[in-house]
Amino acid sequence: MKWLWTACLLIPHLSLAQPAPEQQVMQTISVPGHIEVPSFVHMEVSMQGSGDVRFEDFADYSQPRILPANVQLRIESTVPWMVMVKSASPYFYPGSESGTSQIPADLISVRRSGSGPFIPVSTTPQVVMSSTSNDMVSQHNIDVRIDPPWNMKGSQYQISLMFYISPQ
Amino acid sequence: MKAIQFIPLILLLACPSQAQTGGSIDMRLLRPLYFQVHNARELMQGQIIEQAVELRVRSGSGTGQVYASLSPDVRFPPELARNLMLRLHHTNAPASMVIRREMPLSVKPELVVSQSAEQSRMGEYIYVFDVILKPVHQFVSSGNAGFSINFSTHSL
Repeated sequence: MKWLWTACLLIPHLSLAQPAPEQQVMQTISVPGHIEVPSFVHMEVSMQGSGDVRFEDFADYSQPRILPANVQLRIESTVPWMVMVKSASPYFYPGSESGTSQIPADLISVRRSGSGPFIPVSTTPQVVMSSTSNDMVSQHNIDVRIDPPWNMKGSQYQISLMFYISPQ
Repeated sequence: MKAIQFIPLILLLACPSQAQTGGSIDMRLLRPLYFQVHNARELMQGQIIEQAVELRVRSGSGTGQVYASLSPDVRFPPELARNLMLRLHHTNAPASMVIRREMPLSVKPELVVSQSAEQSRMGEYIYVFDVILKPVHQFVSSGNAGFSINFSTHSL
């Protein structure tokens, strides 16, 4: 009778000691962290050559002068971006007293290299291009076109173009 | 005479699960887990907080596993959620207990430590991890967010 009691008590106990068919989470501990990622947009602009364009004979005036890939842009950005261009002034600056201050800035136009129509520059910023991939680093070329300055006094003229980048 | 025979049975019934478990983990943050990015280049290079987390696994007598998972808060940049990872810096555990030297952190628990019942009898093991923000080369959402790394034991 004593052994029967012992067996009756042991059987349920042994079944409790079996491993559970599915493992259970026994303990969880956590450690906190923090991450700070602001938006970054950075652009470097470089130019091929000196930037001098000469109209020296009649043949030069027969068609616009196109400077392919004349401006290079290197862009680092963590977010989608767009690049704008504007001229620093509405007219070219004459380099001497014999020149005129009436040559408009929109003789110059720009486009993303090899694609799309040329965009005449003005003192109002205009979008030249925007990001086409999700890559943080990219390089792009800008074609520059200069229309012949008809009916203008011969001289040296200069103008500054300004490129801007901003998040889309 | 009857009372003497029942004493061992009562003791066994009082602690039925101790035969299989009894292990525990402790975690210590050795360095603050603070990733601060100052420019795009830092994101492209990635960041490492070396020897950031120490995990002490005290074994029970059964087989057991430790899993790691990530709990990002709602402002956490989603593109970075798969870029956080743990890298084992050093441990006193035998190589057979080290599942992977590097493991990505995700909301789904990933196995970090696995030990057999035999290994479990050996005592306490220490695992020290680096926490890594892997290099990112694609656009990311800006964010200022918290997260937590969770370690959970399964039947140690």
